[in-house]
Amino acid sequence: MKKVIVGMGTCGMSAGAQGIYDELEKIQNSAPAGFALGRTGCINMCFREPLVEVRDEKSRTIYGGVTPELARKIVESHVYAGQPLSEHVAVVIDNDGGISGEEAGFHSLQTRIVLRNCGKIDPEDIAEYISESGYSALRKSLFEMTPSEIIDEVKASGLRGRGGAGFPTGLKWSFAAANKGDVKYVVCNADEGDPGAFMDRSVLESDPHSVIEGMIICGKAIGASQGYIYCRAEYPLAIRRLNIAIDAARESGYLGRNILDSGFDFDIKIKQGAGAFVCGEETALFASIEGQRGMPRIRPPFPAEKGLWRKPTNNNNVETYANIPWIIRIGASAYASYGTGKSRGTKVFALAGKVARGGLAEVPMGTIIHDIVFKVGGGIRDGRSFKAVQMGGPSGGCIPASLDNTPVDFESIPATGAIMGSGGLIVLDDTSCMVEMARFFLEFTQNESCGKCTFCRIGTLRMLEILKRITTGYGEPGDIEKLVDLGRQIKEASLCGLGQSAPNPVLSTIRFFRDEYEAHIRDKRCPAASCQAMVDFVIDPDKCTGCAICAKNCPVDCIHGELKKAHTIDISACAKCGKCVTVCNFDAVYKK
Amino acid sequence: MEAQTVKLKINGIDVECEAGRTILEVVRERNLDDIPTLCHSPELEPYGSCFLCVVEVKGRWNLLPSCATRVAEGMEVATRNERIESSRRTALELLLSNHYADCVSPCSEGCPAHVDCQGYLALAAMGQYGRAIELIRENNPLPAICGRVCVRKCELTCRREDVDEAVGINAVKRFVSDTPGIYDKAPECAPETGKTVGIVGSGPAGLTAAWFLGRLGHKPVIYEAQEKAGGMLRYGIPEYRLPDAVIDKEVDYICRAGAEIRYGKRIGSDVSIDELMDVHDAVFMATGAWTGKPMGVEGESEVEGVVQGTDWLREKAINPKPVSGTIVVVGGGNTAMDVSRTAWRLGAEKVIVLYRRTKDEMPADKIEIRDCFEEGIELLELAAPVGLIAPGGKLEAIRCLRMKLGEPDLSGRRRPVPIEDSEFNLPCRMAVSAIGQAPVLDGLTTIKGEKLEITRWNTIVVDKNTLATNIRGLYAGGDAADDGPAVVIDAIADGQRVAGAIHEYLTGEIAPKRSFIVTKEFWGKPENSELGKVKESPRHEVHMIDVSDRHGNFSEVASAFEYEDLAHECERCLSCGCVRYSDCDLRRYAEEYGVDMERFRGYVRKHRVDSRHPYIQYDPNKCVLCARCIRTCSMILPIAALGLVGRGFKTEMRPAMDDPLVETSCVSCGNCVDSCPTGALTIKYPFPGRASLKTEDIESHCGFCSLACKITVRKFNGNNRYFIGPSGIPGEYLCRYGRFGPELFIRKNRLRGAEVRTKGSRSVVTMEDAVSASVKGLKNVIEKYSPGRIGVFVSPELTNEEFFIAGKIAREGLGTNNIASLSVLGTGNKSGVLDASFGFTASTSDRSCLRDADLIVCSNTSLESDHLVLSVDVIRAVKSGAKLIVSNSTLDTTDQVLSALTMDPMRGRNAILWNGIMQLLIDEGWFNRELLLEVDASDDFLRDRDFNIKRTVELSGIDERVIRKAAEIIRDSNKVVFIHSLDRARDHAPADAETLANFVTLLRAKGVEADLLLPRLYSNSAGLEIMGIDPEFRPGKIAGSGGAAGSETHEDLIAKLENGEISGAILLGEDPMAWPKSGSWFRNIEFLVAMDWTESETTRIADVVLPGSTCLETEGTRCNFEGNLVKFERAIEPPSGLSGVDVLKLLAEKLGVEVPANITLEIDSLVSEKMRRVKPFYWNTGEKREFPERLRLVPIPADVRPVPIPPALTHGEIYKKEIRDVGTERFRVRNRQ
Repeated sequence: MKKVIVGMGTCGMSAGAQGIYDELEKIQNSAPAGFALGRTGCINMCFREPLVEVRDEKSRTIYGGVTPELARKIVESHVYAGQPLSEHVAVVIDNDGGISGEEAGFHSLQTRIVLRNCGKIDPEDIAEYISESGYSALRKSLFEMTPSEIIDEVKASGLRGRGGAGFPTGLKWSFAAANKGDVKYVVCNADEGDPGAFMDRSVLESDPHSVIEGMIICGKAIGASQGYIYCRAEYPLAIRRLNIAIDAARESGYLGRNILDSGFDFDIKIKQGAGAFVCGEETALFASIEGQRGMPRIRPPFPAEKGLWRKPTNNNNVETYANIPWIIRIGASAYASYGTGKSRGTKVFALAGKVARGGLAEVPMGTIIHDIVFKVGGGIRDGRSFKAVQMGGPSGGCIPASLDNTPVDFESIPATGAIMGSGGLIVLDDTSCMVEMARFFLEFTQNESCGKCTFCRIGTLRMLEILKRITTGYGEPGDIEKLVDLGRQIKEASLCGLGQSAPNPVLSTIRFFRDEYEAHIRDKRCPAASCQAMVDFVIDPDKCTGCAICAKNCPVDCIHGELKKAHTIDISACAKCGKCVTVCNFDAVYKK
Repeated sequence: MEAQTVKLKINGIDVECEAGRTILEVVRERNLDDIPTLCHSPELEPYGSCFLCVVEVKGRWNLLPSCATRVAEGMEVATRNERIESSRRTALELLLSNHYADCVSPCSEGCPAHVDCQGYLALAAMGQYGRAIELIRENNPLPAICGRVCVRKCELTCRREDVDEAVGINAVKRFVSDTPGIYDKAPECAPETGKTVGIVGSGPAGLTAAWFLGRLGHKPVIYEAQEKAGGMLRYGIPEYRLPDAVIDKEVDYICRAGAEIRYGKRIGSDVSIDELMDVHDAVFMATGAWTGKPMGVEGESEVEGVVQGTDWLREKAINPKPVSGTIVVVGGGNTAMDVSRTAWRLGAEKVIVLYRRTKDEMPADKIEIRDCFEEGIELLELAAPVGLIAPGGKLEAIRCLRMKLGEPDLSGRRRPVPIEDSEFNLPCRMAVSAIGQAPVLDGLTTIKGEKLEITRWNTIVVDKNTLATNIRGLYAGGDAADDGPAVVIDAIADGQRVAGAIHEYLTGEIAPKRSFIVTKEFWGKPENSELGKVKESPRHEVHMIDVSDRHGNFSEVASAFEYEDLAHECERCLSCGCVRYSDCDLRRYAEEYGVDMERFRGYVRKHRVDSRHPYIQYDPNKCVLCARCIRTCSMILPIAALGLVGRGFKTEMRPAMDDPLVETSCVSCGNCVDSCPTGALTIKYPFPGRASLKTEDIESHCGFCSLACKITVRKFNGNNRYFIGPSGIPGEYLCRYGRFGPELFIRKNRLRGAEVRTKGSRSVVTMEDAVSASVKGLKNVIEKYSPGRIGVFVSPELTNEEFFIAGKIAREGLGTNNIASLSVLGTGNKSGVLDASFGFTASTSDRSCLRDADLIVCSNTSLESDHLVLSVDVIRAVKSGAKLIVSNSTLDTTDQVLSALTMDPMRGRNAILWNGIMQLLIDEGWFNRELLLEVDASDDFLRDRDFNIKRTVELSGIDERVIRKAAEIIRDSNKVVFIHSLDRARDHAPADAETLANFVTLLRAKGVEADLLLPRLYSNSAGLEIMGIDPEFRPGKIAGSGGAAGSETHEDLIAKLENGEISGAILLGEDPMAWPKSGSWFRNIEFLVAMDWTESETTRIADVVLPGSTCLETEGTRCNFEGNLVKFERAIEPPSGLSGVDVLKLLAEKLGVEVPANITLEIDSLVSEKMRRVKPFYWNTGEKREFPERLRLVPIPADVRPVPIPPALTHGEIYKKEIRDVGTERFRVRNRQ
């Protein structure tokens, strides 16, 4: 019997997956024997949401852009009549690995370790996880391995922390294991806060058990029996599914006292964060769990020595833990066979921005940026030209198109001034203003600074003021030097990663796009025609039909012209609201 | 474990130190550098927020906060280099870019000479005129002159303007400088340097330069062309504004600072400038601007009747010959006003001021304009002279042209535009041109062949900062230099500046730079809404003589301020300058690191100052978010009333939930204020006119409880101008009583002298008469009845000296043994309650025993409200692992946050509870029989005990599990300290202290270290028995009455009181009349003498009232709860001039009682004799603690139910309650009403 599966991660839900599921349920209720209905988490092709999969013995056919009506048609045509609606098929994945269909390119370079179950299993059903060899790594760790063997295996895999800093995970575990103490903690950082990043959310929503299993294995390795998942409250679906998963794991004996009769105890609590970005910093995260204001603490002592509640603690992020069961089950050498140099395995990226295909992509370390953008992402949207990628969110930087043969790994990316980060990858085209982008990220970090350190609290505001000045046409000679100088000092004299990396978006754009800054300051011009204050709206007389819709909509009445003749904009009166561009039906209004 | 050491290099120097220390600690300890920090405090854990303390560590890419970075083997540290200093400077610049505050008041910033106006207003308010004038002379040696003629830029910038009107600053200056005798004190000068400076001209610039140079030890010689000194002050400003005598007074004073004036010497003609340059080491040209500018009409220099304003004024200053006819004065400046008013006084029939714009545009001082037209002088505005009508060379009229106002010119004033064909004639006999002056530099422009650089306005070109001309050694200032004529205070500023520059030139000593300061004006004019609520209070103006009295004479128009005006204006001062100006760390570092405010000019957060707390003021504008207050409040103390709110740039320190501080858990201890490195948290002074003035610090001890914490009495030179600060020793704190209690001494109405009262009438008498009346009245009672009907009752808050004399007065002078403290009698406390247990009644150790304790038991002790400072020690112990058990009927924050076990037994059942716990341990055999026998061979202890668990649970209301838990904790402990407040009425129960003493005895017998601390609510409770304020003990705690009449025991005395058998009494600091029960004890009183520092219910009915002193106003000793004798000085003079000890001495003398000359010596020996026997108990003696055979178990009766406890009867307790109420619901309700 065919199975119809709806992608019901947050992305799918917001695109209308629930309506489709309800429709399918209705159909099924009227003809119960026809097909099996299921749900899964994020299928990762966010650009084609909502997604519906029709699964049979041979293959998985995934439809994109599904509406309730289309769902009905899919059932009628594909499920009942065996006639796939090929014009709506995004991709067909054969069980033998063959991939075809319109979006086959999206999957071409992907290797799915972290996302192995995402979009495949029902995240609310522990049996589906188990059927994909779930918890077998835990059994192996509990009954076949000593803690040091687990740590050695993780070390051998070459896995490095996927939260951004890339600290070798095995080494980190060994520190926490080495610290004596009757109470230790395993903490999972699920406070994914970078704008544009949603890797962790997808994993939690689509495959929560992989994270739980990873944490239990970690607990066994370092000698901890209590775990905390610090998840932001903005991820209600993730929290709900985590709770379901934890309860199910407890019921099945994977969590709690005497796990699987091994004598090992481990349990997990979920702590919801209130949405402070800085709580992604581990010491601030600990403070938050303890009920204090989320503010970073001085290190050392490092968490492995004194972490949560001043006890030895291991803290990794969601993606890192999700890798663990695979490594234990398949083996460190298999994992290490992916990647390059000191960066092993795969990395999940949240592909966003001006790319044609946005979504989650897991590629082996060392894949070059160009391939991610063009092969996986399908190039730039609307045929515009590729300008740069922004990596690492507010802590990261930009890599210009000229460096697009840079491989993504922990050595090459930082060499460009950007960082690997947790996996946000925003593609920029020629309409993206780099100064504006730097301003956006800096404003974010300024608002999210915990306010403790002088440089981060006030310094970033002063930088922001300069950027605002530049983007509104009031930049002064010397501003760039001021930004560089202050940016360097903020990095050098801040307590935590937030402050130490807050100037990165500015510094890296100055490094590669200094001419754009200079154009803003010297010529009062935004080369990307993006900074409203510095662009002029102009009507192309060849395209203008004189319909006067722009004149009617102009809030300051600065568009004049006779009916059926080309109109003009009085630049001196123009408020640069952009309304004319939006209303014009002939693309006659453009920015200069 | 031996401490590990590490070797590292700091600034290239090899350092070996203990591992685990921070770089900052090591650098400070070894004096390797002065690393700046704002957020670090040695008492607090490293925090790392200000990032001023950054250092470079080799191998690290970033800079590390030295306050938090631990030393490590092989580390190479640099604490100072360009990169580090640049980072520190940036940090300071960033902090200051959001520091919306005034370091100094805007008035002194507005004054060109930067006179500390706020400071002298404060001093004047205190009546410290001498100090006020000295403060003014630091910047301005002409206060009496400026007090009359200054244009008052200070008042133009005054913030009070936004409320009603500017403070009358200048009038205060005049008042102070006119105070008789104020010029008597000789100026203080540095030793002579042998250098001489020639000064040309004795105007304000020259005089000022001479003053400062003279004080620096140089010899100033002033060359004056005129016959008298003063320049334009004398010859340009008429007598009715500035009397010559005032000038003479100032000139004389400047000469006393070393200046010499040579009159009639015109440089350029009488003496050449070259000669001057040869004779002197430096020369300052302050020749002024003496030539009037011409009107620019044809013939003005030839026509008779046309004169120059300044020339004319000079002539009239020398020879005030009358004038007549109509006089037209051309111009709108001060000279025009002076000319007009002088002409009017000299008899001119009509004086017309001719001005080309309107009155509003006149550049003259507003008050001058007002006074001028008040005197009947006419104004012809919007007209300008264009010609003279002078047939035969004699002026008959001025040809004028009407004007109208056009567009504003560069000065911002509207430009006068001629109206065509509007000419008219203005008939007059004389025309005076008063439209401006220029210097005369004849013979002065070539010096030794070198050309002096001159501007196109014929003024001398000078360097703005040093006033140096292009010729080495020659300086110029005042009206003669740069932008020409200005006002007196500008000339004074020049004189001040040039003196510094010349001093630097002569000695090479760099003159101190002007301090770094921030003013709100940096971010634009402050809005009046920032001021918050200020009650409007109109300005008092200087009194003026009537216009009718001015005509025909040159009497001074403005008469002075009255004292009331002065007080009023001083009170109006808003005290804008920061009280932390002199010790603000942020300002100090900004100065040291050369901060540039402009670098990060940007958005600044503006906040209202929060003054809602009665003692503490919070100015968020000045907060640097170092969180020291927050951490002190939550980590040193467990209060946590403060916290951070918001994120990013908007992060702020705020009281919890952003409530007013007073409505949080704040206990008003003010320790947050001490922790603040800037002026964000300050205490509100209990008096007006606060300012950053020099203070005098006197060390003393707090007199509010028996902890006797060290305090600093910070005096602003006034007996009612002081506040209390901590000792300054790191780790020492104060509580609300110690810090803010003494404010009551200022706020309350004090008894200032002795009074004798008969029914319905009261009269102030001399101390002598009061003492005689007291003795007479008491003797009458003795004669009528017997000495046994007399009582002497003393508050436990008085000094040992007062106790000692009171005892002598009672026993030797009046022959009565009825001597006690009602506060002890009233609570039912016995004397020597622990004598049977320990052989003495005192703490068995000092507070240092808490340090090593692993269990602290608090019973009947509210650490937080009564002994906050002791709770700091308890908290420290708990943080290092000690357990805390609390048993009080109500629990405060400390109890709840820190204790391992809290028990809240029913009131008065503490003794039952602890006997129950003890019984459990006995029954379990932990305190076994052998042990009991070892301590007390008799069975007395066990015989009547009935504290089985069931009964204990029933009577105490405490759950059995909790009682068992307490016993378990005790069993596991090795060092136990009990804290028990003997005076606290709330949970007092009979035999509670004895019960704990039994515990100590048993624990010690078991080999467990155990101590009992007895903190007392009253500062000298511990001294009462030793000093013999007790019917059962004489001084030295010798038992027995010594033959005096009256009661022998507490019971006797209570019975006497209850029966109304006290007919005559002396009450010292006690207030039994405040409560009905104790009031009834004195229902048959026939003669009552009461001593107190303020009126009380008891003094109200007393026959003789003696003025007592507060704990700050008397020197002497008290016994603290640790059994130590605390000596303290008299910090403040008592208002009557006599302390309580002085008064009692007089009384004793009158009674013929001999008082030893040095009472304190006697007391010292009494106390040390007493304590010598106690000391072997102490841990901190370093000696091995024996198990003294004195330790005894005291049988505790089974029925130790509570008896009702009356309130404390000391007068001070009433005031303590007032302080205690701050922050409580009661306070909030009272304040809202």
